[in-house]
This record gives sequence, structure tokens and C-alpha cells, in this order.
Amino acid sequence: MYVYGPPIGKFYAYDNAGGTNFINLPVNVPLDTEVIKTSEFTHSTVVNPAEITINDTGVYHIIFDVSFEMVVQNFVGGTCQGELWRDTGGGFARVTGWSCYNFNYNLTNPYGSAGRSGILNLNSSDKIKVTISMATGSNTHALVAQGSGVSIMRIA
Amino acid sequence: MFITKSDVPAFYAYDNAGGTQIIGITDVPLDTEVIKEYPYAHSNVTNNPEVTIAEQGDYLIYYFINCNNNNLPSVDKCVSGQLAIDTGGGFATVAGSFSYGFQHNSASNPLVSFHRGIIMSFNDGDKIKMQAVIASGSPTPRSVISSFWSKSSISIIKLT
Repeated sequence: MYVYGPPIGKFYAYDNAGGTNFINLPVNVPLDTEVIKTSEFTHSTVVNPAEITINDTGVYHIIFDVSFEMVVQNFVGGTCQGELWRDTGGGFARVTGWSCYNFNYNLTNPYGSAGRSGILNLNSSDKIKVTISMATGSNTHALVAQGSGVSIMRIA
Repeated sequence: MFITKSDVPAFYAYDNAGGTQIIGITDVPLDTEVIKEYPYAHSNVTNNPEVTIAEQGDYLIYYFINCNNNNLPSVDKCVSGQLAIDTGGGFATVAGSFSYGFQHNSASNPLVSFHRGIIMSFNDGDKIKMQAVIASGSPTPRSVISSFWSKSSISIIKLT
């Protein structure tokens, strides 16, 4: 039986404030502003605002985008890396196949974005989050206000 | 039970021609429709960056902008993309819709793409469009130094 219909769960939140700094270690992308949150999702804009808890086992389509700005330049150029993480009960771990990259040049032209989408099977009580770090280079970056967000649709 | 027609109405159009220069906040044209189901209204010719949503609901918007550093020899720059919505009082930037790309000044590496996917609510008759602006760069003015490369696009699906 194949039934094509609208997603049965929706979530979208973004980072309104920006300003979170990162260099080489992965830093959580906070989602301080919720736009849509149906019952399949639990999320706080204040407490652990990067984390989204899944309330119903299912298949989910996830889109994430991260925007950043170089604020301290130690070298010319470097690559920023966005990643999706999942906690199935034992702590957060990177989700294989969910990395994305973008080259960022210098302080004169400091902006960049990285993002990707995909589909995951998620179980009830799973948590997911997005992180950002520098994969190469060691310049200090900050998240750009209103430039990062996570969209999730439960599709089955 | 088989349902052969999707009940997730879709819209997809792109800028086939490209070449529009980015001067200030510039609308991205959509001159080629691929899918246009109800409740979407759009013209390839008249006000072609604008898509009208005829039915209230939640929608997934995915925009994708290609740019060309077309005034070579030129300078490095960053270009920003965003969505704008008109709920009846004129277009305003959609909060949280920004994305960025860096363009090198090399004649052999002039292209960049950036994108964003968000879910947002619309009311009957709201209009949406995507825009780009030069976000950084040393030249003054920061205009007429970048343009849209062909095949920028917007995808919209109705979620409820």
C-alpha cells in the first residue's frame, strides 16, 4: 500500500540571535526561535536549545543550514563543517553521512553557509542536534543572526 | 489503497536566463516553471520573482541561488540570499531565512551557490520571493559586481 500525503509532523526553528563562537571543536547551533512545532517534537528555545527530541518513531526528512562569519583571522581561508548528531540514549554521536562544508576566506569577506538534507529513521526519545566547527584552519567564527535553522518533516 | 495523485501540492520554477545584476537587494527572476499546482499562482513574465499562495497553510520553501562574479577583474565578495513575504502591506524580509556564499575574484572560479530550506505559514493571497544582496566586499559601491548565474530556483510544497 502506497499512500502519498502531507507530512504528519513539522518542526522549524532558527537561531535568531547568532553570535555563538566556534573554532575547531564542534559547537551546538542554538535554535532560539520556534516557528512550527507539532506534537512529534519537543524543543526548548532556552534549555538546551540546540536539541530536538523526537516523540514518535517514524521516518523524518531533515534540512539544516548553518551560516557563519569569520571574526578572528589567524590564517587566510579555512573550511567550516556542519554536522548532524543523534542521541539514542547513550549520548550524542555524529550521524554518518550528514556532514557538509563550505570554504570561508578572510575578514573582508567573512560570510558563508553550509547545509544539507536527508531522511532518517528516528525512534521515540531520540534527540538530534546540529553542530558547526572548522574542519581545516583555525580562524574564529561566529554564527550569523537568522542564518541557521533546522526543518524537520515526519513523512512516515 | 493506491493514491496516484500526490496531495502535497508543489511548485518549482527556476531562472533559466540568469544574468540579472545584483544591485542592492535584488529579486531573483523565475522565468521557467516546471511544476505549478493549485494553490500557486505565478507568471514567467509578469513580476516573475513572485509566487502567490492562494491557500492558507504550512509550506516548505527551499531556495537555491547561483551567482557569477561577472565584472572581472573584480574583487572577492560575499553574497547573501533571503526570502521576502508580502502579506498585503508590501514585501518584508522573512526572519531567519538568510544564507551566504563567498565569491573569489578569480576569473576561473567565479561561481557560487547557496541555499536554505525553511517551513513557514502562509495566509490566503500571501506572496513569496527570493532575493540576493552583496553582503561584503571592498569595492564602492558594492553593486554591479555580481549577477545571477542561471538555474537559481525555488521549490515549494504545501504541508497542510
